Amino acid sequence: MRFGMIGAGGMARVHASVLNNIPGAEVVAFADPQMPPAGRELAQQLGADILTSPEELLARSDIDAVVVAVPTDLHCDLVVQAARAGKHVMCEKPLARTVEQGERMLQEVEKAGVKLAVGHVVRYFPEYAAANASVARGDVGVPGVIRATRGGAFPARPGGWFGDFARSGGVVLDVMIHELDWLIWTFGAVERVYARGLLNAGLPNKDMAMAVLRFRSGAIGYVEATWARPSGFYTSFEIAGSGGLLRSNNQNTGTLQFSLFPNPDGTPRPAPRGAYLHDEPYTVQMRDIVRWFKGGPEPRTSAADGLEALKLALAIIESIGTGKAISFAS
Amino acid sequence: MSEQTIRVGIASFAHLHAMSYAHAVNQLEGATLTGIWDEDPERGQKYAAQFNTTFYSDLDSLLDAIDTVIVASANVDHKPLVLAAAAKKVPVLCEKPLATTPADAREMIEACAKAGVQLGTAFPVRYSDAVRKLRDAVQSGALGQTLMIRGTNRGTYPGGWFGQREKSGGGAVMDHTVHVADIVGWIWECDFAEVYAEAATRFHDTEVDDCGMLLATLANGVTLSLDPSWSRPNQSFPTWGDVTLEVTGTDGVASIDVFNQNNELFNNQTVRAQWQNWGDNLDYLMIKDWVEAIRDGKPAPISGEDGLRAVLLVEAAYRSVESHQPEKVG
Ligand SMILES: NC(=O)c1ccc[n+]([C@@H]2O[C@H](COP(=O)([O-])OP(=O)(O)OC[C@H]3O[C@@H](n4cnc5c(N)ncnc54)[C@H](O)[C@@H]3O)[C@@H](O)[C@H]2O)c1
Repeated sequence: MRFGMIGAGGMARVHASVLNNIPGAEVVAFADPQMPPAGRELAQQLGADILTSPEELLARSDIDAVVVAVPTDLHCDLVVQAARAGKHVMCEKPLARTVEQGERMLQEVEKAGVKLAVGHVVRYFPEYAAANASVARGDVGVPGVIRATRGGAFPARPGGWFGDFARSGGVVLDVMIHELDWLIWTFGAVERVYARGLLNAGLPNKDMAMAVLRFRSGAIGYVEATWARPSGFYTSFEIAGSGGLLRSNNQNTGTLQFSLFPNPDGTPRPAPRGAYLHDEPYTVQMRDIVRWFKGGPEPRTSAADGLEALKLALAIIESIGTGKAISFAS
Repeated sequence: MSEQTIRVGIASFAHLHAMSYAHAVNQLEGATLTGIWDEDPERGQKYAAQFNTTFYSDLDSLLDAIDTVIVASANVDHKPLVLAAAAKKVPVLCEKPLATTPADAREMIEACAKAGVQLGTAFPVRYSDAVRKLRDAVQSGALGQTLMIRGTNRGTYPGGWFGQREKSGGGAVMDHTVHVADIVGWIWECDFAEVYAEAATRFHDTEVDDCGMLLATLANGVTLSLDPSWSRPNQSFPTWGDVTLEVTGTDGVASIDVFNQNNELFNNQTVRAQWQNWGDNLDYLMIKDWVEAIRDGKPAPISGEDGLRAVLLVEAAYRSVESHQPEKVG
């Protein structure tokens, strides 16, 4: 299966490297109007064509599927164009910037008879996948209170689009939506939400949000996302139920830590790469997607799931803006 | 004056913190545990024997014999016991929450003021070195301007009268909102303006809420998320619970976990792993400070007004639980 990459930014490069290691998949072209140097370098390394226009890429008949990894406000246009060109699409999360866009994308792929996968990769992170299975098995009994946090430093990127709320939707749509998808997957639909955040605090390159959820099941949820840390990347969750407690915190789960003497000239010695997993989550996710595009079973997240998470994220943003709790009709 | 031995009484052992307070008084130089009154004479006699002191079946006789009284009854009995102490002009340190309603708390504050005696609220967490150092850091501006705060005071289910509404006045939200509310109010020297809350009964067979989630706004605009749930599994969790705070400021993030100084014990005789805390005895530090204030005729280190601030938040939280919208505090 021959893939075209729409976008050559951070995530496009992750997915291209992953695809390159999946048997039966190859990356044949990158299209990015502002082709970043690192994208050019990777394209050359993979022997892929370097294009500036996504239209040109989509017009090529030797490309079966595309990865759309561009700023969030452009997801809809490019996914719709790709569908009309008859390509299967893997689109990064969030599905879209607005509900209307998301609904349009689902309609267009249906009409074109192509497949649309959405990159809610948290379902492929082993601690979150295991927790989902654990809850389904009843390890914690009936879930009562669920907490989840995620975040770190603000993602400074060329063009600064993450800091432009109209483009990225801020930390809620970009970061918190990871948890929201996992929460809906694991605990079912949400009935009510109330949130507070720094959206309108006038802080450039900083955002943070805290939301209280009430699930239809009656369980209470708390979700937090931040772009207000100086550095690092932090995730945690805990699920308290009638029969037990399950929790995970990425700060306590390291398997390899270094403490190094400085170089002979006194300069700090850079830490070697840490250990993680043999099959990291982006690889497992993409393997599932490629298999689905080739006629196999659906991956863990559907485009409709992506739309549900999007609706919840936008309700949280609305609550932050209005100061009111938002209830969903059943 | 400073040579004087302070005679301390304890009114009711309904709350098991009374044990810890009695230990503290017995450890202190310059204080003596003169006697115990308890509405349950059997329990009173038992603890009087255990702590080597006298059981008083008549409250007024105890109050006549002491310089200060510690009230450690069920929540709804705080008010009559504090009013009885005020009537006898005995300074009183009251277990938290100060009262189950703001009106009761105000009546207690007024009665003590009129009698010219100190009224204190038992908030031992203020004596944590981590909390004090965080306060210094926040007040010196080391974190810049505070943006958002995450707090938890999760615990196991205390059972007994805590689960009986007519004794407790409420459940987890009543019991576990106040510690974090107090340290936040103290560190930022600020009252609460508004709160949204969810509460539910998810873990235990009890008539009160055993879990909840608050998103409160301080008068300075800062958001506090607060998890007061009794969500630690009683049979298997390695300790009673936690008090944590994570502060995100414009210049960085600070986190505290007040009870994280533990040795972990795994023992084949017990099902659960055990965290043996080796941190400071906060109850002892609080009782010591209280006794010194009484001896030196100084104001209560942690006042009735401080207690009221937390009660106001609890009362508004329960209103929000009913209205499904944020509610003004006070
Ligand atoms: N799943 C995850 O873990 C994860 C992590 C980060 C970002 N994301 C998502 O991935 C998407 C991309 O984020 P990123 O971090 O790669 O951003 P990025 O800024 O690193 O890359 C975006 C790239 O898109 C290019 N681009 C802009 N307009 C284009 C167009 N019309 N056609 C082709 N390319 C165009 C830009 O020039 C840039 O190189 C976002 O939706 C983001 O939310 C997902």
